This record gives sequence, C-alpha cells and structure tokens, in this order.
Amino acid sequence: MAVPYKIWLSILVFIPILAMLFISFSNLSSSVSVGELTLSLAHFKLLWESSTVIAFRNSLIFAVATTLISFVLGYFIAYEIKLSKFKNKFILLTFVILPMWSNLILRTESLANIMSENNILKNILGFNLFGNISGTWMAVLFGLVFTYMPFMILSVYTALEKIDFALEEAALDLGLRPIKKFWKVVFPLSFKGVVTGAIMVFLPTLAGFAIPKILSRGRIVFIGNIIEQKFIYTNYNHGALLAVVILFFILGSILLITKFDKEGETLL
Amino acid sequence: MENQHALIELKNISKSYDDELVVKNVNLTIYRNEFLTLLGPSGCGKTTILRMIAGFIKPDEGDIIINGKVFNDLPPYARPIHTVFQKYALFPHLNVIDNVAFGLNNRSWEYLENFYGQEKIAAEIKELSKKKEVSAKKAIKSLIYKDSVQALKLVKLDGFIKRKVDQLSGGQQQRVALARALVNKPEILLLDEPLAALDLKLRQNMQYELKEMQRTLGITFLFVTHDQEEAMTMSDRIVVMKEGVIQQLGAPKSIYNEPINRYVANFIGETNILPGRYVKKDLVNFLGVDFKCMGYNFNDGEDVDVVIRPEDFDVVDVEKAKLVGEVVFSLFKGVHNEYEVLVKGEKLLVHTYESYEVGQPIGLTIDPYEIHMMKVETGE
Repeated sequence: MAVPYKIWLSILVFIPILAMLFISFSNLSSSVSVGELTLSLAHFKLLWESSTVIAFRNSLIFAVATTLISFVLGYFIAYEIKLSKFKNKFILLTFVILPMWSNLILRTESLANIMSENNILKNILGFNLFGNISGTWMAVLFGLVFTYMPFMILSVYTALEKIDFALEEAALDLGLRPIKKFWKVVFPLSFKGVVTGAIMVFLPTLAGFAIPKILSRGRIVFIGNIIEQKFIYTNYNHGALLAVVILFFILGSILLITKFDKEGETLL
Repeated sequence: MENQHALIELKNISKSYDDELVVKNVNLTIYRNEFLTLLGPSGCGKTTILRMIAGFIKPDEGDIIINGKVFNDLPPYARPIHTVFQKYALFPHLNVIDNVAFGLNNRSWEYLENFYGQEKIAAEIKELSKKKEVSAKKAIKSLIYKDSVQALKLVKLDGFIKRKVDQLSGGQQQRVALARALVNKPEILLLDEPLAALDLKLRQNMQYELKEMQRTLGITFLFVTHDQEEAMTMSDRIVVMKEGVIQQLGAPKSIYNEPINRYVANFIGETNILPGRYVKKDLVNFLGVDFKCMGYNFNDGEDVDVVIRPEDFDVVDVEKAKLVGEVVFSLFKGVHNEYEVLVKGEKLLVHTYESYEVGQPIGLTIDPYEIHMMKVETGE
C-alpha cells in the first residue's frame, strides 16, 4: 500500500509544495529566462503591505468568529441529535449535510440572491427574510457558518455518540446533577470532536475566497481573494508566497489536532 | 433476619418495556448490612430491579421505600446508593485517583460539610496549618484525597494513583470502580454483575474480597448475577428470579437444599428430580422403593417431585443398597467422581469419592434428611 501512496503523495503534494516554496523565493516570471533565475527574499515585503495585512486580519477574524459560532450552535445541534428519541439518526445527519450536496458556488450565489433587496423568497413570503444584508459582514458570516457548521456538527456528533451511556449514569450515580454531569463528563469526552470540528471549520474559512467574494460583493477581502487575484494576474511569486503562509497555518492546525486526538478517532 | 432493620422495601413493583412485563409485582425487603443476591438468567428482571433502586428507571407501579421514605421519583444523584457497573464505567479522561474522588469532588459545599462534619474539617485545617495557613476548602480537598487513597488501599491499588484507567487490567479497573463507589460511604452498594468480565481465578478471589469488604465495612450489598456459584459463595440471602417473578428467597443453604420448585432446583446446582408419591407421614415412594423421609407434610398418596442432590447419595455395597444401578458414564472431577447411574430406566447423577468403572453395578442409599420434596407443578 505504501509505495503507490508515496508516489501519489509526492507527485500531487510534495512536488507542488516545493515548487511553490521555490517560486516564492525566486524572481521567476514570464519575462525571466532560466539563466537569469535568482533567489531572494524580495517578495516577502508583500507580507507587510497593508492590503495583505488587512486581508489576513479579515480572514482571521471571520475564521475565528465562524469557528466560535459553529462550535456553540453546532455543539447544541449535535447534542440535540444525540438526545433525540428519533430512531433513525442517520436521517437527521443527512439533513445536516444535505446542503453540501449542491455546488458551493451555486449555493452561495443563491444565498446572496435571497439576501438582496428584491428576491424570489420575498415574493413568496411577502417579507424579506434576511433583510437587505447582502454585501455586509453579516452576510459573509452567515454564509460561512451556513457552509461550514455541518463539519462541526458531524465531528461533535461522532464524538458524542462514542461516549458510553454508562459513564453518564455513573456520573448521576455519584451524585452529579445533569448539568454538572454534562460539564464534567460529556463535554470533556467530546472535546476531541470539538477540536477536530473547529479545525475543519477554521481552515477552509481562513483559506477560502468564494464565499466572502460573493456575499460581500467584493467589499470584504480575505487572504484567499488576494491569492486568487495574484494567480489570475500571473503574479505567481506573490501568490505562491501567500499560499505557503496559509500552508503553515494548516500544518500548525494539524499538529494541534494530533496533540488532542492521538488515535485520529474523530477524523473521518 | 426478620427482626432486623429494613433498609429497602420494594412494594408491588412492576415494570414493563414495550408492553412486555419484565418485573411482575415484586415484593422484597432488604435488611441493613446484609449481602443479598438477585439470581436468575439474563432477562429475568434482576438488573431492572437494580436499576429501579439506583433510580435510573422508574417503576410503573409500586413503591421503592428506603429508610422508610418513598424514593420513586428521586433522581439517582439524590439517593444514598452507589452502583458498581458491569463494565465498570470508569471515566477515561481521568486518572485513577480522580476517578475515585470524582463523586466527592463534585459535591456541593454543604454536602461535604455534612459528609465530613465540622470537627473533622477543623482538625484537618489545624493539621495542615502547621505548615502554612489553609482555607476550609483546601482542608476538604485534602480530606477527599486522603479518603480516596484510603479507598484505593482497601482495594489494594494504592500504587496506581496516577495511572490512566485504560492502562489498567480488567481486574484493576473493577477495583477502581469499587473504590469509586465505596469512597462515598453509601448505605447501599449495588453491584451489577461486576465480576462477569473477569477470568475464573480473579473472579473467585474477588468473591472472597467482596464478601470480606461487605462484612468489615457494614454496607448493604445488593448483588446481581446469573452465576449460582457466585451467589452461593457470597450471599447472606439469595433471591431466585424467573421472568420477573421471585421464585424463592432464602439463605443459600436453604435454597440449595430445599428448592421450592423444579426451576430453582435446576438453576441452583446439579440435581436429580424424580417423580414420587407421598405414601404416608415420613414415607415416600420413588423408583419403586419406599424411603423414609422427614419434615414434609403432604396428603397421603399425593404425587410429589423428589429432589436429591448428586452428593447426597451414599454409595454402599450392592447387598445393602436400596437402589441398585449400573454406571453408564463416569467423569473424574478432581475432588470427586461424577457418575451417571441407570436405575430402573432413570438416569441419576451421583457424586462420590469411590471409584467405579463404566458397566459396574453400584448400590445407593439415601438418608431420610437428604430427601427433599416439592409439590408437583401443573402446566409445565
């Protein structure tokens, strides 16, 4: 198993990463020939440019906010699903992931549509469900939570489902009231799921570009949008540099996961 | 027993799941400091009774009375009862000592003040303050720690304080579960087949230790098992159950020697049940022979079931024997030999120290006091 896996991993992951690292240090561009290639830290100035800093700040703030909201809401939903007397919980979970079956861009575009002043939903309902928030930070936050919270719900639910019910009974038996039982037994034992879920929400939010672009109508710029722009305008050096920085965030997060979840139980 | 103080009373308890009655109108009194075992095959309702006493489920009908108070609607956390679960249910996110201290650590201040008493707390503050000033809270924490260590000592695990629970063997986890319950000084300890997952040797050791603990700590143990040997070894009294109904309640010896019906006789150890007739007072006829018997009163000429334990046969010379049969199967069991003896078409199970070969004739007699009789059950 290992050999084909390693080959694929090197072709599809390691070589591109090395290439990006190289590009971010070099002066490679369409007008530079191979003989003139040099390596320098010149592109790193970009990281201190205010557009980059603001984009990073936006990405971080929205990623943190999305993660927190997804955690609170998602944990609640996962816990309710776990407690529900409904026999077929798989169906409930299917409802959770159902929106994911449609294309992200389409889904986001339609979300932007019903968030704008005149839309089909308003015609049907007779009032504007979302108000007129398209283009604001609220629209972006809603879109992000709407898109990524299912990951939190699923991983928290998986962790909750693994908790032996006898442990909860043992806690009650030892004199804990239900609320204390939750904080002392259920929550600590599902924390791995929270960490995994948080990272699955945080990373795509941090690196994403489609949702903020569509829902803020270009007003709120994430770091992903800048990377996209750089590549569209064939400024590969800058694009690669920012992508590598994002990559370090991802690596850091994965280290965090492995610290909390050594057996990889809650990861799919 | 009867004049002792009743600790738990179950009055006409019934419980059904999905229209299936699993506990049927059970009445049971459990006395202080006794070791009572609920014995029966799986699905006989014994665990359900235990869980109702613990408060995890509510009876559909009837009352659970503890110390004279009706406990039906009290949640588990408000009962002076702790449970040792079948699969131990130790908290995997805590180490051994934190598991043991879990109950006390999460109690309210008032509860702990009550639990330890002002005097003990004051003494602990004094003791600790020799080194540096401490608050009452610190003193209680220290008392809890000491108690937890003490409980672990009791189960011989005081060397494992900081160990993670998943690094312990099954037997050790069992002991931690026991310590976790005992540290709270419950009036009643419920044990739900706690030894079922242990191997034979360990199980036997734990049986003695549990009995010993119950005796020294003076806690009422309510033990649930399907293993009749386990029940025999440890219990003061045994409740034999079948399909949600109590069949017989009594000391191990009386249940073993005087089973009330076929079911109990078969469930408690190996036995021979023979159709017989109560000829007249102290005379019973079975296998075509009259035997003297004692202590039973039936109508003259009434059909009875005669119960004879395999070890109650006396093996004698053929000439002196009341029953003569042929050994058809033999098994060496270490301490004794087990034979199947064919007597007048009935196969009898006989335990004896003498050795016989298959095919040899064998003579048997039975002492009058070893002959037990039951009413013939109809409808079975």
